[in-house]
Amino acid sequence: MTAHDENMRKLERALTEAHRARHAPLLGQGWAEQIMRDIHHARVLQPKPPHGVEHLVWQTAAIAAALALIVTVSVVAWSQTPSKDGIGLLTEEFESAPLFFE
Amino acid sequence: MPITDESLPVQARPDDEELLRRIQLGDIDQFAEIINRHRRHVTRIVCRRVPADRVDEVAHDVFVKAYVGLAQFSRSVAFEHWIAGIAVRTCYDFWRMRKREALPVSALTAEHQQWMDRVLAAESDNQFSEEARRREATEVLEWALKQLSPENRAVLTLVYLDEYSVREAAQLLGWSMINVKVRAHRARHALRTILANHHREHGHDST
Repeated sequence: MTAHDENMRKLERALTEAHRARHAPLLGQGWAEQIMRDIHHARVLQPKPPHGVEHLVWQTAAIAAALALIVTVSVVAWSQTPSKDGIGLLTEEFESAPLFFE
Repeated sequence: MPITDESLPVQARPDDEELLRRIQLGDIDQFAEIINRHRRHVTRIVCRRVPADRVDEVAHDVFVKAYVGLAQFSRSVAFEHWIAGIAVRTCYDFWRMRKREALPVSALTAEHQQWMDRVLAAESDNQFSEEARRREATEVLEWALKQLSPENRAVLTLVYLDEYSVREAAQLLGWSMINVKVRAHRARHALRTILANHHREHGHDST
């Protein structure tokens, strides 16, 4: 290692130590209060996030609508099936059995 | 039997997770407690990256950004780590904005030159550390860092000055590991060139 490299290494080390020796300034209570004021202000400007009661209401409504749709479809399907069968059976009855007893 | 402090029911302080849950449900005043808990951690990161007179302003922005971005906090990492990333990126943005203003870098004075000479001549570790704690040390560091691009400055500070691993630095900056690795190498080379050029210009070259 040359003297130049050694000098550069020393300077780098000194600058690294200088970086780590930096102390954070003390920030007063007013600083935190200002953040809270800005946050309250930001909240007023922002659209509300979908959390809490509103979210629950929308979720329940969506589930209820889905259930209602399933029930309606099932009822329609169930009410159509027996009538078809009934007609079929009646037709068979007419075809297989004589109209008048001999 | 006398009532002692131990006999009184102790109300446990809610952890960060619980506080964040309450904030997301609308109790935003709980964020004051989050600020109180993490202000030292945030200002320690910020004070090493921006000028001393801008620390309060940048740390303020960090907490506002954390609040606004709370919905994106996935809880896969600790809140402390998540807010550290916001702090690092806010400081990076600070220098990007300053770069646009194209402020001139002031030259080093004779005082700084004398400090460099004393560092190079230091014979004991104590003497060396004492020099590193002087005001001139911070000013020379600032002078050198100001000549780097905001990207190089951010990565050099994390990887070489703070000694974060490449993986950690990549997570904090939100960059790929390969990007951090390449930039860190270039940034160190750039810093050495700045110091070497100054050293040479002032007649100290002894290769």
